[in-house]
Amino acid sequence: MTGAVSTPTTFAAWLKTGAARKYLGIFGWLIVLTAAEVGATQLGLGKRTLAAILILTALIKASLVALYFMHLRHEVRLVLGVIVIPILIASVFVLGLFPDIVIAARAALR
Amino acid sequence: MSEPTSFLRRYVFSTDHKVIGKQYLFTGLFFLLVAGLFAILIRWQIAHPFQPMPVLGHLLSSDSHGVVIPTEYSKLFTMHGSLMVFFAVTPILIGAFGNFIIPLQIGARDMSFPVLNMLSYWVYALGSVAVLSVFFVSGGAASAGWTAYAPLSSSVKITPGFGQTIWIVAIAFSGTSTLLGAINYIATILNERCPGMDLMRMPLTTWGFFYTSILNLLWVPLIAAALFMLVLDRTVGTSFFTAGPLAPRGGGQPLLYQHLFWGFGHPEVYILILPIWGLLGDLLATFSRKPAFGYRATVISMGVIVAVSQVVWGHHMYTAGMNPILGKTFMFLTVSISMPTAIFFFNWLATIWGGAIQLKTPMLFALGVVFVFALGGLTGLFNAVQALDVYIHDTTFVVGHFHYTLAASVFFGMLAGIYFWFPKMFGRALDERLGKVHFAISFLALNGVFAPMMVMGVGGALRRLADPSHYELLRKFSTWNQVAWWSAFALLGGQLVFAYNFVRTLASRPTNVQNPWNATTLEWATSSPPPHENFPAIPVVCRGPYEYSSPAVADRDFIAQNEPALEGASA
Amino acid sequence: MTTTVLDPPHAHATATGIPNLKLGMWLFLASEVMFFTGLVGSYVVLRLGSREWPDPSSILGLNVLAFNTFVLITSSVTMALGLQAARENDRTRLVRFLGATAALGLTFLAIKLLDYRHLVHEGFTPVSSLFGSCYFMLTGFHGLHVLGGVTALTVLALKNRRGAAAIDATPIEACGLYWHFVDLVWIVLFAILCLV
Repeated sequence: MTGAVSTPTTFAAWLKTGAARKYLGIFGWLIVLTAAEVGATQLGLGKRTLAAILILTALIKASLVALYFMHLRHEVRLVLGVIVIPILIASVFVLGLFPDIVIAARAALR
Repeated sequence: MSEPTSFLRRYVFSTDHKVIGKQYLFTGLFFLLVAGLFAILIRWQIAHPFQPMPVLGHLLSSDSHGVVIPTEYSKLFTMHGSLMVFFAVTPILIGAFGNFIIPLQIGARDMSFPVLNMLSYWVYALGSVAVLSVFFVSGGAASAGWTAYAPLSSSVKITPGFGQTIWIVAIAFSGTSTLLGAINYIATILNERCPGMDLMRMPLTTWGFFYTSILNLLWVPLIAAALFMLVLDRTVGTSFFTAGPLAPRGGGQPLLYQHLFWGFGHPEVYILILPIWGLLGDLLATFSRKPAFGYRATVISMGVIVAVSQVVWGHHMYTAGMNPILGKTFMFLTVSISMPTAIFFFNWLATIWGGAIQLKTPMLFALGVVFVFALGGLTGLFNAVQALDVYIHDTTFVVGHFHYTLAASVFFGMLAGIYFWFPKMFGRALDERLGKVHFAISFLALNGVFAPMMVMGVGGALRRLADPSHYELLRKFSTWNQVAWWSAFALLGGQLVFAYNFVRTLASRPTNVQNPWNATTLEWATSSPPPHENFPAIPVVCRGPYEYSSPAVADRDFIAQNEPALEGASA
Repeated sequence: MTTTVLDPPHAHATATGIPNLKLGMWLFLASEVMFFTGLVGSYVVLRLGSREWPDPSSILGLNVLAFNTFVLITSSVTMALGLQAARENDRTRLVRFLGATAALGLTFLAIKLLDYRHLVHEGFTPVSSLFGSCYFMLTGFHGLHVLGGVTALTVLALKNRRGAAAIDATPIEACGLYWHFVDLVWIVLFAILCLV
């Protein structure tokens, strides 16, 4: 639809059209999850449980942004590879830090 | 794409990859000379402890009276290493060769992002000014090694002065330049290939740059993160990498810096060698008049090495006090990386075997790489095994190992590339006889400098010591140190032959021979030097890059990559 | 209804089919993943390896940070809507959404700076503790990235104000990718730095 001027619609009507509606839907979920995160801190949970919940919600929110706002859901394999492989490599690297910086340090502190 | 007309746009702020490549080449060669002179000073000091050095001694600080005192020695090996890695080799190999060759070899008119390319050079140039300024600030140059371990480097109490701080910033500039270049190279290689140039038809040189750029893309940001935290420790007074009494309000961990540094540092050494592995494929094939043996296997092996090289960094830290689990893991992975290396090494040998070898200067240097890389690579295995490394870590054996792979393999590879592509870049060929003299001196001298280091290292000679003869145990190596000194001196002399050849040829009249080596790849399918737009028409490729001595043609021993398909022949 | 705008006449077909600017931005984001890994990963292991670590809620103003999170997420939505407008060749809406995104980004930064001032006033500084070092380092580098994004958005908004030709959506898309990534990093930081 090159060069075509979109048919004049009110802003509110436009927001209800396909793509805009999808973005607003994701927005809703992101807000709900953020509120849940803040709420979880007030529940008096143990550190580990709280951390697990927060990491999970953060991952879900991040995935929503990546898949729908950054359109990774519909991207070609090359682009997926360009972003997913570094995430995997980064995770391996941080895991490689654990034996020294976490485990050994904790053992020394005991 | 109109050609610029003003002097500034043509030669200073050019977006033409060929001009930018030359800018990197000249700046890089300058730093190669500076860092090389530092090495001469180092070898003098080891061979003649605390004796004033003639000529070059005047470069040292005035109160040392030409003597390399221990604090000066630390600055020398720090600046030698960091200038070589970040300001000489990376710019020449990746900045100069990568820039000049990639678009030509894939049949493109320029890089994907020409303006970004120009910015990459100028960020590097700014970093160059910064790194040279360390010599003139209070406290002098950086002195914590090219590795800049914390807390030696992170604490201003331990290493005072601006030099160390500016050094950190300068390295970050260099890294930024490299990162922007990596984005450019990867996008270009993926997107700008001419019709018919499938990935598996690309010359191995381009594959080398592709792989190097992937590693640069991923790991330069990690050293950037580490350097930012280091500079915060140094300037603001945070304590990411300091602990104990140096961090009264709660500190971090020094070992974290080592992990971050070597997490980058190991891929970095593969970043430096991958372009050499790549261009060796092209050169050995061209001067043996044979296709590169096992092209596919070489491409895959190099790819496997790219992958595995990212998980072996701990082999630089065997004696740092790592968790024993890590030691074993890293050892296993490091030893296994020798397998794909062996595959393409034997492919090199198979390429040469039975070929109609032409011993032109580029080929001599390429064969030199094969020899020194064999030694360097094999000695890597000794360092890889943790039980052995505990004994040879921080000795000159390690220094010998990485100099055989870096100073020898990368250096010879660089020279092979310069002799090979000089005619394409400048429209004139370097003198063959002077080139052969340069090779002969360099080959003998390099071995003379670094082979003794292996011997001494096993005998207990420690590195980074201003005066090993201080220890009675090490006094027996004085003869070897003399051998190393005179070899280093001869090596310098050999480079003067090269410098003379380089300058004299540049000053001579161009001969503009399009394809002096009768090579098949696309850069030889256009004039020497190429026009601004690289090719009159975008080439169409219908065969692989190494159609040498093909039975399909009787009158010549090569078919250019862009020649139209032969009748009845399969691509 | 998905509409796509063709590349401008001077853009050429690429061997992968992905425009250079878009591929370049994804490559840059891959490098940013590694950069933030260095910073965030260091924080994670330093914290887990520490004997004690203060409770963030006792130092940080969680309500302010939660509001800032809302601001940044909203800016991601306006960015996505801006790209949609670009694809529909609607200049007015595009510039408005780019402007809104930039404004929200600036709001985020302003709140962050005020929050910094408050924290320092309370004695929580980059050198007062390891948590302080990590907090200011992580949010500081993130903030610098937001600033870079705001600059890019402003430039794009100004460039696209006028023009008779079809909008080139590729720069908008590339800017959007960067902006969403910056939002994504904040989502992670908010959870594992400020809340837990």
